Amino acid sequence: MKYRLEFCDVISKDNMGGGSSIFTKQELDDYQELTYFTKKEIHHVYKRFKSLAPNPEAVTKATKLSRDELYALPEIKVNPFKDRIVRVFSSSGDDSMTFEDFLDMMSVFCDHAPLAIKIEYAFRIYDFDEDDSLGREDLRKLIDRLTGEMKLGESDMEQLIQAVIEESDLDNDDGLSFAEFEHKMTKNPEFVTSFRIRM
Amino acid sequence: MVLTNSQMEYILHLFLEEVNTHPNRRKGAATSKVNAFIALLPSKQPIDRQMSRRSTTAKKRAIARNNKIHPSKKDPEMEELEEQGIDVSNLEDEEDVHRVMNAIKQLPCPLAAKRRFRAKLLQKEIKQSSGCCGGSNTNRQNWRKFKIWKKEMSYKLEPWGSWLKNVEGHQGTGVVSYFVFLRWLFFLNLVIFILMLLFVTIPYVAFSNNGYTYVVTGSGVSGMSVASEQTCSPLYQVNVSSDAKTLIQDFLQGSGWMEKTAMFYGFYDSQDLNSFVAGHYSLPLAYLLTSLVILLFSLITMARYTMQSFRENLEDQNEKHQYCNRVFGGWDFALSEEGTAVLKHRSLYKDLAGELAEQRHHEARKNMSSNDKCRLYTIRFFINFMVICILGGSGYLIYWVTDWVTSFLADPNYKTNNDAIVVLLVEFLPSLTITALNGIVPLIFGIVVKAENYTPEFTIKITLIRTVFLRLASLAVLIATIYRIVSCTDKETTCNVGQNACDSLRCWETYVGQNFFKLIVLDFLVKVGVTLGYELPRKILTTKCDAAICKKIGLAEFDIPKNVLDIVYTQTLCWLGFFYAPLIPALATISMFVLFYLKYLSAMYNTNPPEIPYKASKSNNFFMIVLMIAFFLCCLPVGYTMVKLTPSYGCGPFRIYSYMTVCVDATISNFPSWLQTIIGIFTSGSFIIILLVLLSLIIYYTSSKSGARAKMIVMLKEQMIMEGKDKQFLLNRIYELTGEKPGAKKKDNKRPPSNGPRNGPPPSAVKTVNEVHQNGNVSKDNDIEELWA
Repeated sequence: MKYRLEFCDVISKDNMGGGSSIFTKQELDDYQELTYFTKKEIHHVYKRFKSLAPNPEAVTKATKLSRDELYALPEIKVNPFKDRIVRVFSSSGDDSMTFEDFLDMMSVFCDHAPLAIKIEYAFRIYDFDEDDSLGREDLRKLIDRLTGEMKLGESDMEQLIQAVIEESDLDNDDGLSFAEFEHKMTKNPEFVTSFRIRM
Repeated sequence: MVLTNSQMEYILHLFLEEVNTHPNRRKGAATSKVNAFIALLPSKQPIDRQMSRRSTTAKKRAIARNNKIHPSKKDPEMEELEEQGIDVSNLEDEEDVHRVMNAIKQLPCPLAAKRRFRAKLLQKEIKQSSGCCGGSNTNRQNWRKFKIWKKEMSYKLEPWGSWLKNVEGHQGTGVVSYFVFLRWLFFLNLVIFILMLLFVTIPYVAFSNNGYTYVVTGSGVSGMSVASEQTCSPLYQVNVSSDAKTLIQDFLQGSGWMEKTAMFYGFYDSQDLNSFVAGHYSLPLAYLLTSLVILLFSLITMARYTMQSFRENLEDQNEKHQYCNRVFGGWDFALSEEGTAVLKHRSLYKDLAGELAEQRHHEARKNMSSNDKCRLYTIRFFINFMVICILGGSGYLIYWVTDWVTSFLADPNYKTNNDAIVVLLVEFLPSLTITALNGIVPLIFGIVVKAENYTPEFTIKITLIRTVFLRLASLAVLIATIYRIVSCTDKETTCNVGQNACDSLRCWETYVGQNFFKLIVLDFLVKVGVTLGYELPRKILTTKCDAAICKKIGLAEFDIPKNVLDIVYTQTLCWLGFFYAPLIPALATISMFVLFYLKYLSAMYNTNPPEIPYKASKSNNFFMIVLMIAFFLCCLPVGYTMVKLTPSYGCGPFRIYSYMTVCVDATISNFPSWLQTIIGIFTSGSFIIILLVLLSLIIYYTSSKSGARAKMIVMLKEQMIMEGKDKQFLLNRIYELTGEKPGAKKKDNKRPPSNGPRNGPPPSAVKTVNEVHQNGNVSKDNDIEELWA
């Protein structure tokens, strides 16, 4: 995953130019072409972004929301993977998001985003140790986060991890590579309905 | 082992050279030789993953070669795009730009970077496509703009969109799927209602002339008799009283003043309407054709909805997915409330723990002694037998009640001999029986199924199937009873009204319509009653009272399957009844509209989300299938009525015909003769047979194609597994060679799996390695160079 962020970094380094709080036509066109939103939805997303800032009036497109401010969004607040989501979508890698990052995130989670991009980001979110594969430790953390306060017993956890790996690991490397994850999720009808935030 | 150590060393040396020169080498990665080698594997390359569909390795190599030959100074952005596999070297016209734009859109990259790519692309000088393609490009752009506008419009106009979002945040996606289904059915009913209104009710109300003498088309066709209709129509009298209590009673029952309204079949006439717009508008034909169009429209929309969800649900039946699906698709990202999130965690925990326990139980169950098995199967047999008996008993009860009620109401003095309340109760007795059975018997099924010791998933499935069966069976019995009453043979000859043993019904279609009317009204009232009388008190109890027992009772659960079956039932009643009471779809529409808001309140304030995680798409498929089965079962009585039953002589649009379809014959008889011949050919038996044979051939062809594809999938899966094993084997050999120890997580896999017996023909992709293995020793270095060049 770090590969992609590296080269994308090179390009996006000097794109933090300031701007007014409303969009220029070029920006709006760009956003509409590059995300899965319409213009109205983009404005709606911007409104929600503004509502998270401590000082909504002073919000520009260059404003960065810190992690704690982002956690105030209701859908993220109750999400057990909130730290991973914020980390994955933060283009500067430090858990803070500009409006474009926020728009990107909402675009991936929206109804119209294709399955492929959702699977790609889901893989990154679930990959806790960022080693490009969902190993046993990743799965353990994932299951722990899912069950919340009640934890599965150790033998249950082992049984579950073993079952997941048996179901999806095809090349016997004790973990799920992206190809295997993609292969499983394209067949999983629950994934598309659950990996979605409506705006 | 077939490759010697020296050969393997050479291969390793070649690869390590490439590692040191590869530009994407991860910084700070472990310097172990094997890890560096592993980082080169194609499956570990981040580039290939996204664009593998679009660019083959050959294409990328071609691009790289091109760059080496023409080392022009390129933008870093363009280079990066090319490494991603997007071909930006020949951008000629707007189509290419659009294609590249779409590819950029799908990149898993921050938005800022995508904007830079896009800006660079737009800066390039793109010449306008000239000649023939220019026009179509503008068209395509306009089409794209139109599609975007359409998306914006549908986003603005999506009804109840924000309400659904609220429910989703509070209850989760499972409950939202119920509301989406309800909304879809609401619009279906609305369309049906508008069709009936436009083509039947409004023309009749606007253009009918009173009196019973008029001209009708095709008087010469056999099966028409205007004379009897002129005698019998005046005899069809309905007593309308102006007493307030009776008025309300009539409103609920569909009798009295309601019977004379446009709601029921008896209101309409069989005349050709004279309108200044359309000339002769044959009302009977309009009635028949509108009904057929409504059925066809319902079928097409249902088929489209089902096909959409089938396409998304490509589950392979042979594979086990349960744990993967639960773990990776378990958390509902749309949830936005603390309380619900806690409940969701709890539900996930219970689900996972329960599934694991069930698996262990399953293992134990396999090793059950034969005595236990025998006992279990006997229990299951008895319970199924009991279920059938319950169904039979319910059916008989409905039959007996309907019979008794009809004979009670046929007594001419029943109103004077009994109190108004008693009469109301008796009128509603068949509907009450059916609704009560629909409520109580599923509870019995739920209790009884526990003794059968099935897996939890199968328990839910079989309880649902039994409930569906109960509802359909009760409707079937009602229809059969009504049929028996209507087709009673002891009828007087002038106006075909029953006498002596048969109940005297002047207008049997209206009678049928009234039955369904009462059913729908009662169904709606019961639903309102349950929401207000069962869920609301529980909510009040939970919030107001602090005792421990109140907490234990808690909030009711939003039972999704039961609610979905309820609206499927309402829709079935609508389809059954609309032919006999054309405005019943209006009733169904209103009922669903009110139900939406009622259930919204219930979902937001009075209930908790269901404990068992609801698999939305699988269950949606199931309910769609139930809806389609119900639809086909509804077509049977309606179709039979159209084709076989004699319409009443004194009321309705078909009173002059001996069968309802005669009106079609009458219209055809007025067509020019060549048209009549053509229609004759299309409706002849031989044409239908040819059509059937053709359809069967098409079905056979598509099913054999899908069978072949399924076999292909199995073969490809085996190939993938074999490739994985090969890779593992090679890695182990390399670990051996370099003397490094494999990481703790790699499985020990010393035995070369490819030497064992193979299941299928070796795929061409792994030909190189497998051939090496199967051919025995490879001694020359040249072969190796060939292999890896």
